[in-house]
Amino acid sequence: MTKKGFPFLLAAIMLAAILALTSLPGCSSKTTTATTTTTSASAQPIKTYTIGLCAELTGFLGAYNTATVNEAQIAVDMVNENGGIMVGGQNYLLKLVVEDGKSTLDGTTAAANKLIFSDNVKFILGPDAYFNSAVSGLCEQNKIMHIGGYCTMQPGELDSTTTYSFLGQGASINYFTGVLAYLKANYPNVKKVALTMPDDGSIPYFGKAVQQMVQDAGYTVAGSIIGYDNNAVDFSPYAAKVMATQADAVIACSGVVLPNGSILKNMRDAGSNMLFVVCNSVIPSDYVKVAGTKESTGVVDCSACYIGAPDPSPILQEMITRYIRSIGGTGALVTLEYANPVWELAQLFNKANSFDPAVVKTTFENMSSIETFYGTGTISGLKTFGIKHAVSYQLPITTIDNGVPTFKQWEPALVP
Amino acid sequence: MAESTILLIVATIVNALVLSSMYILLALGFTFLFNIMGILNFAHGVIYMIGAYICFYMATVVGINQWLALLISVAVVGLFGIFMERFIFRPFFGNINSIIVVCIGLITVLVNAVAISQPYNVQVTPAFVQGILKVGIVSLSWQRIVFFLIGVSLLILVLLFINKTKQGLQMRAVAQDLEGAILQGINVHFVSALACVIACALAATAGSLMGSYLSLTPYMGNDIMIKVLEILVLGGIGSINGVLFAGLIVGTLDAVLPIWLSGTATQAIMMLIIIVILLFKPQGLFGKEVRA
Amino acid sequence: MILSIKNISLYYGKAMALDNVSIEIEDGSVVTMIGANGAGKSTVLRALSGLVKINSGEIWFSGKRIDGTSPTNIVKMGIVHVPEGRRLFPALSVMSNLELGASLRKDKAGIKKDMNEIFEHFPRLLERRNQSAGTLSGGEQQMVAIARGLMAKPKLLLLDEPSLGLSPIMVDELVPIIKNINQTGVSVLLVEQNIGLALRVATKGYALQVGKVVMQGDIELFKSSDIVKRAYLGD
Repeated sequence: MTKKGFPFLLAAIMLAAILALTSLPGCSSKTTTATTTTTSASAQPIKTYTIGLCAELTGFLGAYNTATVNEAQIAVDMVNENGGIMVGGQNYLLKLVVEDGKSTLDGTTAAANKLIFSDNVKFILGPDAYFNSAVSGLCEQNKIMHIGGYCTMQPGELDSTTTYSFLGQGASINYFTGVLAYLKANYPNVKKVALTMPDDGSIPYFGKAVQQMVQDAGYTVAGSIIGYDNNAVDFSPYAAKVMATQADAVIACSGVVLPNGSILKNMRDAGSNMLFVVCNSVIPSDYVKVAGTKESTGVVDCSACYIGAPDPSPILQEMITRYIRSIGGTGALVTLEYANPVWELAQLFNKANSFDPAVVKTTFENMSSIETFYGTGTISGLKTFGIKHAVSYQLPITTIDNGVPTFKQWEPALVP
Repeated sequence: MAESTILLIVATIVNALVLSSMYILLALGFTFLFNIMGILNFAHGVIYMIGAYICFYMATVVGINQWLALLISVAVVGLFGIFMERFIFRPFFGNINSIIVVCIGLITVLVNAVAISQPYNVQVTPAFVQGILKVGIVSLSWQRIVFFLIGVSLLILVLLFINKTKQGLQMRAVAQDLEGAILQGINVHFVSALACVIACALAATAGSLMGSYLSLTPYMGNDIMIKVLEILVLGGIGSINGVLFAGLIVGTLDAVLPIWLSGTATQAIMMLIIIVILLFKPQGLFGKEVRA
Repeated sequence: MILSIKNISLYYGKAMALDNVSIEIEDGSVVTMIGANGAGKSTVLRALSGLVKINSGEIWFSGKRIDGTSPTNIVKMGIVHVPEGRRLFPALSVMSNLELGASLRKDKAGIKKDMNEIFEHFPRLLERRNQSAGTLSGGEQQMVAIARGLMAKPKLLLLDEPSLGLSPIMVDELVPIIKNINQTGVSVLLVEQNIGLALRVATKGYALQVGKVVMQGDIELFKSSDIVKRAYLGD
């Protein structure tokens, strides 16, 4: 190596490190430190009961999960201000302890271990994305009840072997069910659909499931599923691939706002007016920010992102008010992916009248419905997951035309 | 040939050309600074990002004509180039470690300043050029074609400047032998400042256009900087021909690989191709053995 | 006097490179500065062309004090330094190298004329004018370096070890070249370790030893000096 070559190499390595550092959306860990599970029992008649939340506070999901953890905390506050929970005649306030999974499988495994063995919780909520596989197995071994916030249907996330794991919201498959039902009812001309999703390992599982659902609904799938690289600089090649299928509609089955918005933008830029259907955890108006006003047109969206339906239930209205206040006055709810599990767990404690995970789990399994922020949820999932452990509920359908998102209807989206 | 295949091929060619031209604009500026001042300006990516945001701000918040916004962005960032030469690079001339630290500082400050000041993580500059070019079944965005033409014109202008003007000759002289150039009476500070201005202006142009072609995030500079480094390593650092050639390769791979591959495999295959090329040409395609 | 160096001293960090050096060059003369490696000869030239700053003393050129002036202005005033090792622009053509020598000149016609003259004097450069300088032989490169210096229209030409790395035949060729330059009215300060060359072209000499002038005077004095003979001619 020449004299100048070595500093260059060194510099390149250092640059890579700094780029990695500055890329993290939230650099500070917001992990709440573990505390004792009860506080001053003698002076206070009300006790505290700690539940765990495994979330991705840093890494690529950092910004998004910071918001959804905020929603979860608001749900906890709402439970507590309504008098907390009642177990064995004793009144308890819930306390949320959050561990950061750092948006990686290893980090999430570590976070789950910390919750179980250091924070000593018996109930774990979360995590996001495809990280359930890091939590479900651990919970099964240690008999910890687990209510996930999202599911990509990869092995070990939720199936017949993960008997202590539930899905607090049907997430991607729930959204997909909703969007497919809406499409079927409102767009009779659509016969052939293209499917896109991030190639994060979920295509053989979640992808296979949605492909089957699309075919069962009577559609032709154009080509194979178009997987994309979440970290691509330019998403135009994927847009070109979608356009080349000459399908009537493209369904973005999951994924975050940047790739989906970019593909939408690139398609519109190139003159395609193919119907763009999205079912992922993105606030619809965020598409307009990414794709542009003019380009954000011909979009149908179904997700847990609430954009202002005319008839929110009182608890949803309360959640919205508190959330908007907490973020400083403007914005919209994200997905309630951790808030709904909190809300469900509080009901389960009251109903089971126990903190024993085995008892609570059996109670959950024997229920057919449970209240969520989005109305009454149905407990199902036997066909999809091989175990009746998933909560699905009605979801808002939003369309976007010329940059304006409009609420259309609540779509009952039952995960079979 | 099936209709869909034709559509895909045409779109991919256009994508490859636009991406390549933008990558080359950036990598060329970086190479300028390396050749003329011997500095590795790792902050080049954030300069690109700042250029994109200035154009976005001028076009959407202030609401002036978008092309004017582009020119303002180029002018402001170009002036910033003079500032960088005088207060960042000149004081640390010849000290590569200090320059790296200063660049890291610049990256951190600018990225976070933008991240904090922007209400949305991702935004987009409206299209510079409306309309769609339709040829038979193929439809292409005019904007893409215009961007490619802008990219190519700027490249030609810059290459003409380097090869045909007195200042360009002086730049090449400084790049080849600094002390030799000083002894001819060449004002090295002026030449360095000029290189900085050109590099920054090119970065601002690419950023402003890419803000509409792709999208804006405070971290957009980091992603593109990795591309620039790939191009430099592949082409051979310091070589302008290397930048042109490697830029075309990397841009084309970025447009073509996703057609067959998906997910992170794209990046892995890209790196594999680069590594294989470097196995046969360790100096890069056009690189020379650097003087010790 | 076209150049007067008055008692200059210069330190590299704490190491003294020049200690109270004084040198004078009469207008139109060829003066040589001899000395062993590290004696400080090149440092004197670098101080003259503004590449390094002196710590004390004064440098006067054509009645103006020039220490502290930028290299650009020094070239503009007429001091041109042809450095040791030639420092050509290797990837540029001979023509471009010569053009760069005229960087500060604005008279396009004059530049053209001077270049033609140079090609007359150095026909070999004419043959190779489009070849990159890096591909030339050592002797040709030295010619380009001197020619490039002349393109700036110097009043005083500083030649640093022009014979370095050249064959004896090539060194012989340098004698008429330097003499010709001098005849056009350019004063020359020639730094050499090749004492033979220095004694053949210079009229006055200075000998430096570890940063100090140890001997100075008419070139004849040097020719007959035992010290010089012992040190350089191997007698």
